[in-house]
Amino acid sequence: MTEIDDGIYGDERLRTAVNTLAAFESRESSIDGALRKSLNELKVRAVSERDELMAKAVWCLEQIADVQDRFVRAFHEMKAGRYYRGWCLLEQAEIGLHHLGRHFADPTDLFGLRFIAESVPAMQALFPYCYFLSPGFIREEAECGICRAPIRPRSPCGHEVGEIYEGRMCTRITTKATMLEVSLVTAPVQKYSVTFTKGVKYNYAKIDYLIRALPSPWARWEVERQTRQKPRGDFNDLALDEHCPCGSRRLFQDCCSEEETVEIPHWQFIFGFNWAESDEHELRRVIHASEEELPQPEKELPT
Amino acid sequence: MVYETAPTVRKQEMRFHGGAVGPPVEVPAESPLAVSLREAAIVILPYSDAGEATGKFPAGTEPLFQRLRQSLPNRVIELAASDEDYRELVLHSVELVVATIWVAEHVLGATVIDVVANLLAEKVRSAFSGEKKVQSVKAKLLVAQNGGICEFEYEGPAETYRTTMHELLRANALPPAE
Repeated sequence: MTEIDDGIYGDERLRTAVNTLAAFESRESSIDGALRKSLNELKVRAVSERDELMAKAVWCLEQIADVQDRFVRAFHEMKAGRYYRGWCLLEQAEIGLHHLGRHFADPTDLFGLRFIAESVPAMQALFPYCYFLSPGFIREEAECGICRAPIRPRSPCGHEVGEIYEGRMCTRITTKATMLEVSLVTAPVQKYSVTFTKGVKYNYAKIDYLIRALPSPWARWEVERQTRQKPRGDFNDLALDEHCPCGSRRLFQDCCSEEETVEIPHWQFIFGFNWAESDEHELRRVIHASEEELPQPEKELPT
Repeated sequence: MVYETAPTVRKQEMRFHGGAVGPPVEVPAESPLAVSLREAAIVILPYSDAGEATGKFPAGTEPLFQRLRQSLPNRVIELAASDEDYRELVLHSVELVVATIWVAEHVLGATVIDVVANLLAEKVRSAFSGEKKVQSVKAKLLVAQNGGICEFEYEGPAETYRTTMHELLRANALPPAE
């Protein structure tokens, strides 16, 4: 147990917030404003008393609340068919987890953070997005996010990026920049900048299938990517100049059109118990879904 | 880019004719920075031959400069730009680029490697980062030895930077010139 773990788990002043955040699996909506207000009051008091450890513990709880909220909101956005909004919230949850994970590891998994950390990339992998815009720029001037001092290498303000001071995480604020380029990339550091093309629809079938089947954001699930052999005759209606169904991104005529069978991607979804319903977190296989069984849009982007 | 195989390392020796070899950087000879660079044991260098990015430093160079100064308080650690001219190139890529570092003595290379490795560990470390968060790193170390500069280039996962670079440095320790 670290010092910050002791602060979060052991301090009576944080008990209500800890209990509320630990009851994550029974919550279907955002954290209420009263809890955030009380956390903020605790932080203001800790800062005025120069209690850095308490202020940091409160920051961790605020981050936990944000991560849980973003994850739950992402689920509901996706349930409503607003997949890009859900995607952005998943990304925000992931960024929040990354910042939090430097300071607090949730060693007993009291707040469901490990579940979120596993679920977010697994959900992202079911999205059809594959190309992103990524900016490159020259940072001409920047300020410290804590003290607002201009960044001058030989006169450092002493605040380190990523550290927590007075209950706030230190960042660098770019105050003057020159844009250099925007690149098309497949692995961006921020995933918001998805490319959308007029007249072309993304195929959300896989993530849609999952979200429809999940009763709550906290329901346990897994997906296994497999392949299945299908007779060539199943693809007689597929034009030779279309993408090969094997997923190679090559044209059918240049790939599997001459083969007797075509090996196609197959996703097997495995749904399990809710956390509240099982101590063992044992998974049971309920539904198998093949790629060809999922609904297809009229025109899709290659995945 | 995620590296699943061993990192790529490259060693290149650049020979010069006699005398001590300073950091490969051009600044006005009479400027205070030039004086400081001549005394420096370690110099952080900007991008070179990189189009509009030439003369700029990779994002995150400023904390690296602070850490090197803290690690070696009795040596002169320099940045090859004045505070007024210091600019960073910010690329939103999953690949981490570490500024090229020149060291005046072979023995300082090990300290630099540890400082860089610790910073990289902090950057990629998070209790909730899964396998997808494995970050790749590009870094270059220039070591002045025996009248030349030995260049060690690393490209690979952040996790193996420390051990790979230490091994490379050890394997290329030259005997002192006669």
